[in-house]
Amino acid sequence: MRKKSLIYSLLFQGGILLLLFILQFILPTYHHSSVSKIMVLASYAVAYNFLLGYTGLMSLGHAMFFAAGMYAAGLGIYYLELSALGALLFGAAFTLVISLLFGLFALRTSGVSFLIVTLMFGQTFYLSILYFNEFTFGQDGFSLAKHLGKLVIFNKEYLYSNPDVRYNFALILLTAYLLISTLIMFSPVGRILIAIRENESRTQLLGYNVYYYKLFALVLSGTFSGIAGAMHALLFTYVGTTFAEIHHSISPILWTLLGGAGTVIGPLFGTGIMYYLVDIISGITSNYQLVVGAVLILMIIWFPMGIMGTLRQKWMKWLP
Amino acid sequence: MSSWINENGPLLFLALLDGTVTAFVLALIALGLSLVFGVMRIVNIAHGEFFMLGAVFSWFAFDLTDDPLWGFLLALVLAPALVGGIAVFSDRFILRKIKYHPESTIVATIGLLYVIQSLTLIVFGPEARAVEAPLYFRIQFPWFGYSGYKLIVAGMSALGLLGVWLLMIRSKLGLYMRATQQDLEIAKTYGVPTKKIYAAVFALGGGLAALAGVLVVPIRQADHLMGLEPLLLSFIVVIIGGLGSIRGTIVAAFIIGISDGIISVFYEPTLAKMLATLFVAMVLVLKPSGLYGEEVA
Amino acid sequence: MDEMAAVELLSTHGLTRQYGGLIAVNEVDFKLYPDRIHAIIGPNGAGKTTLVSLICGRTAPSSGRISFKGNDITGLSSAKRVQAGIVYTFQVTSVFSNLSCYENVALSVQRNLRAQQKGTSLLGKWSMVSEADIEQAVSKYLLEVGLEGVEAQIAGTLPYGHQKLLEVAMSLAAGPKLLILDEPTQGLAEAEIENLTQLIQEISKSVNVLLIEHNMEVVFNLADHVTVMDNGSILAEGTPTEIENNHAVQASYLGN
Repeated sequence: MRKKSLIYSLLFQGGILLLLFILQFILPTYHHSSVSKIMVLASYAVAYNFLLGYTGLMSLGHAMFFAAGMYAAGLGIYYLELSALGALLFGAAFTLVISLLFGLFALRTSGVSFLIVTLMFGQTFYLSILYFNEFTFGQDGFSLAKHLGKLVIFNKEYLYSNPDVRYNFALILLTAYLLISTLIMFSPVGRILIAIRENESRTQLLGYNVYYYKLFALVLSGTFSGIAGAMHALLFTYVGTTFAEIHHSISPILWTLLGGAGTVIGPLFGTGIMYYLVDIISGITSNYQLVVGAVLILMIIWFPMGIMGTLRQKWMKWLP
Repeated sequence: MSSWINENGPLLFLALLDGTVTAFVLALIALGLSLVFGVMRIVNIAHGEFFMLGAVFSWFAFDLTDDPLWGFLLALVLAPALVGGIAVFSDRFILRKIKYHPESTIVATIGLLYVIQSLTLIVFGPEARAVEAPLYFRIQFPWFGYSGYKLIVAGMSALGLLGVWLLMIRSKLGLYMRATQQDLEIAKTYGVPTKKIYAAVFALGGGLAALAGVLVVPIRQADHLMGLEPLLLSFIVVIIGGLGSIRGTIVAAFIIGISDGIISVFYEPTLAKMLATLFVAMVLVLKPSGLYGEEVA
Repeated sequence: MDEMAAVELLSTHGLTRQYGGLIAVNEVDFKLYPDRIHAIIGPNGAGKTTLVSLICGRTAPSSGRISFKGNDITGLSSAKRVQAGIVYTFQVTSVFSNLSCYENVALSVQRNLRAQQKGTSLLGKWSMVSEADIEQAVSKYLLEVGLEGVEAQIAGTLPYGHQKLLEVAMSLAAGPKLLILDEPTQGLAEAEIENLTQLIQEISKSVNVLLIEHNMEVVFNLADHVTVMDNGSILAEGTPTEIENNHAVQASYLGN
């Protein structure tokens, strides 16, 4: 039964990823670039969903992890002259440490307290980027275009911001995240995480040390968010404080809930829909946040399971 | 030491004065958040926007009357009433529909925050606007003159706090609120109209924030983005004061207001905020009931 | 069996739990010997549920000690106690109601299987349990409680009596040395009670059972040994017949 679900969902996700791969040859430049961006942001949402959707912990400070990866990678390139791969690994290692430290503290709380602790730590991180502006370039952020080396494939040199490089690296990141999420969700560990979401104290009384599993989920979610941030820095060659702001912590909540919390592929749909919705609205008015707010409210009242959550309930029971 | 005092004494005095004014206003805003949390068991992320609306309505009233004093008095009545109305509406058509589920409420009030902010931007535009103080006089200290209006702000905030306290202990509404806070189910069985109490508390919370907004505009300008900072500060205050404890909220507002005043004068405001958010996160982690609060079951 | 010679499986020493001014469990020295069904009875508020909560680690004691198989377990977390073999079955069913019955039991099975495998597998603590093994074990436990074939059903949609059986299956799957059943027959119909009584009898052949029960018929049918609690203390102990004839118990509890 489980094996069949695993095969179905891998096929389903594989199909969507294949579609994304083919799309790059068809899409006009503008949408080509949009989809690249969506895939990086969706990876962030997939990482976020790991905590919200599968473990049942809502964080309001995930921008901290995204920005930690982004700044570690960016500053590593700027000051330490790291290679792109080095910067990516440095970003990953840095967020691993940050999320572990954060988890050790924040997981002593739960529910609404956890939410506010994450909000406060996130805000502290944001303010420290502003405060140490001589080192981090504060509000202005900085560009990596002049500091980043070139990617060599088959003796040909490419910029990391080359549209094709960007698109395919984003696709690789997304593929890796979806695959890892799916495999974890079909493993015994995934089963325990879902049990924690459903009923934490009962899970404890089945003999599991719930704290360690929550820490695992948080560190994984945080580190993956960080890697997505580092990737964003590399592919879009810019590092800035907007990615550490509270809005950037709220975005993955919206994407995840809209796409369907607790479904592996949901965040991708949520991110894509919101990205294009905001994009279209921005063409009409600069005030796209009105739409973001309205979608949040309407969704939480009438559509709490999100797109894939509703589909799963109705038809696709095998969906992870 | 004495030379330090000679040099920095006036500055310290100014910091204490500014800190006290901030503390009173902050107590008013945070009390609204605290009441809502205590009675309804929800966190209202849009609370800062109620404050912002108060400030913006105040500017609107000033424009309408074209007179600082009349505008101020009109806003004093109008802004809390309008914001209270918006709060009742949000309670009825959003919060009640999601059954006050803690996490859903947070998502919904984030949405509300965006909607209120954007609508304000559309109606009033992006510029920050100043409003003339209704009364203007200076109190002369040996080292500097100080705006008398700021002291009026502190005084009126204190009156507001006193009013809420009287409401809580003297009125039937206050009794119902306390009963609901103690135990919702028992309150229901004793015939407390909890739905109405919820709406009233949400309106009262919003009204207090709006009142603070009205008081503050003549000191600082009003714009559609001004809500986030008081929101975060109120969180800090409510958490340090102990979730749902009124006395704790007021004590914490003073700790935060005055230390914010001092750190901002001598160091950088960013550092002050950074330390405050870090501090409150650690308080929540290490002492979840707050520094002054009773154990929350 | 010679009682003096038997080594107790579980014992508490001066175990106390206070809630403010209320003493729910007061200096209790409770002993449980292996190979029999032990029942705790007593009026509402006597401290039965608090006592077992202390034993399984859901509640921390105000003072006193608990030992299990000769080891002091007072400081162990509830999860560690389950790993040691003390498994608690809830009074009000507490299955994962949004998950399938398979997932419910599998959750319990996989920990137990892994714990067994850890000792033997080359990979040690990094060994993974195969899903095939889990599937096999889940069917076994569902069959044991008479719920074969419900794997795909969502647990919350089962009738109440079946949820209780599922709960028992989850507990068995955890590999208990001591199974604590808190009011297992509460809310069940006559026929279901009979069925469950037989099941408990069957289980007790391989697992030690501690039963908390209101239904006296069930207690006197099943238990080899009965402890009567009142006001947080142990009032009397003995075989069911001894308890039935005990004047103090009749006065305070049985009421006739």
